[in-house]
Amino acid sequence: MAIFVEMTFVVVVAIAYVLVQVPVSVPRTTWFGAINFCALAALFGWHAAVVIAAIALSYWLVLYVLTKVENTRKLSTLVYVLAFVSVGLLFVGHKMLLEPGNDFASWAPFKIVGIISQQWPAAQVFSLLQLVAFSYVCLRLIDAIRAVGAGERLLDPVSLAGFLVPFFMTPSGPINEYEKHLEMDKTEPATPSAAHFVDSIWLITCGYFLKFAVAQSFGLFVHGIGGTWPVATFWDSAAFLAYVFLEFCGYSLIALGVGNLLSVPTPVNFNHPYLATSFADFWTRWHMSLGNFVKRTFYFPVRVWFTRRLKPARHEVMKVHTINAIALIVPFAFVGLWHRFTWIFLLWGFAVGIAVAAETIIKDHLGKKGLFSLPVWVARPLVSIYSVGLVVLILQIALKDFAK
Amino acid sequence: MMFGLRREHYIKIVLIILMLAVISFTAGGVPERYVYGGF
Repeated sequence: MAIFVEMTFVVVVAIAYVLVQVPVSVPRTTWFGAINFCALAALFGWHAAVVIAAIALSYWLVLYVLTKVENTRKLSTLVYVLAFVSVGLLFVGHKMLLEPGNDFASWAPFKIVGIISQQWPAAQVFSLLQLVAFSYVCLRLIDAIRAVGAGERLLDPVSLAGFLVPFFMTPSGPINEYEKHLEMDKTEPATPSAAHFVDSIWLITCGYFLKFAVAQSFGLFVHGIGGTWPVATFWDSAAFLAYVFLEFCGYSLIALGVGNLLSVPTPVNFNHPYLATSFADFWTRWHMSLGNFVKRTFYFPVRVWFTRRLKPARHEVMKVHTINAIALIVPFAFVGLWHRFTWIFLLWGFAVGIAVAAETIIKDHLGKKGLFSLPVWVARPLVSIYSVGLVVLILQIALKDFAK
Repeated sequence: MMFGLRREHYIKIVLIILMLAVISFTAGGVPERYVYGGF
């Protein structure tokens, strides 16, 4: 997270802004990939850049094999599954080094991966990958495998590295989408103009202001200098949620502004979550890039898989609701574990998933009976208070761990 | 308007300068007590 306050970051962004405008005969994704590689080397050192290049090249080879065997169903399924498993193992290895005392460390498979990840050269590689928030890189790897497996064009290795680890998304995401990154090649970079420049710098400055003035001051106001976040009451949770919103929204705006400046597709991460129209709606407005990722990677596939298996008829309401509930709980459980490898985080994920599923079912039933017929100006604020209130309430489960 | 900038851009420029002035007191390792006392 420190790179945003380093002068090198400002210089790198300025140089990259000039370089992306240079007319070259290669695709835009490749050109950005090359610029990005140099930016990573300047910001994190050439060791980190080489490790990222090696990961990108390895997975490019895997994806290349996947495109070559796509007509052989059994073989392509095998490569597809192995690719996902390998990302899972890398993720576990990374987590075992990042969170050595996690709740699953004593499980045999995790223990083995943990032992390997602590040996040379894995330990050195993982510690370099921690600099670029490898948890996010793993999600992008999964997205690339999903997209190429579904028939999308395979990027070249340099472009793939640019998609997997964009230097301005290393502190805290967002999670860009493979298909959106491909679209770079179909469009020209935004024509450099004073208006475009001011609009981008505006986003970046708003991000810095939110993080380093508003969130930082709010944090100091709540816990004082060097203090820890209070975790006892509902209001402590509410204050923590507000703090995370200000800080994370700030980081996301900086990334969005740099992405806009360099004409690299960068997703918006927050859309007024405090104006949510339901508990479920809150999660479509909060950390949207992660929400969209789990939607396309877990929610839709799980839902389609169960629907094909169980073939529910229209009148089998229980079956439909069960499928929907499972499809909602699985992604949230994943989100919990992705944050941290602890039972508490898994429980928090389950709790959010169950609450979303329950709300969907209740809303479905009440909606049919026409009970939600309050005037909009009354209903909207009440619904937003209920939505955020429920988020805060469930956050209490894992607040102690979140606030560490 | 100059450089193809509209009124909204000039407003943004003023706000950017104001925000940068505030950030200069808070970001990049300035002692926290300054921030704490300042706000």
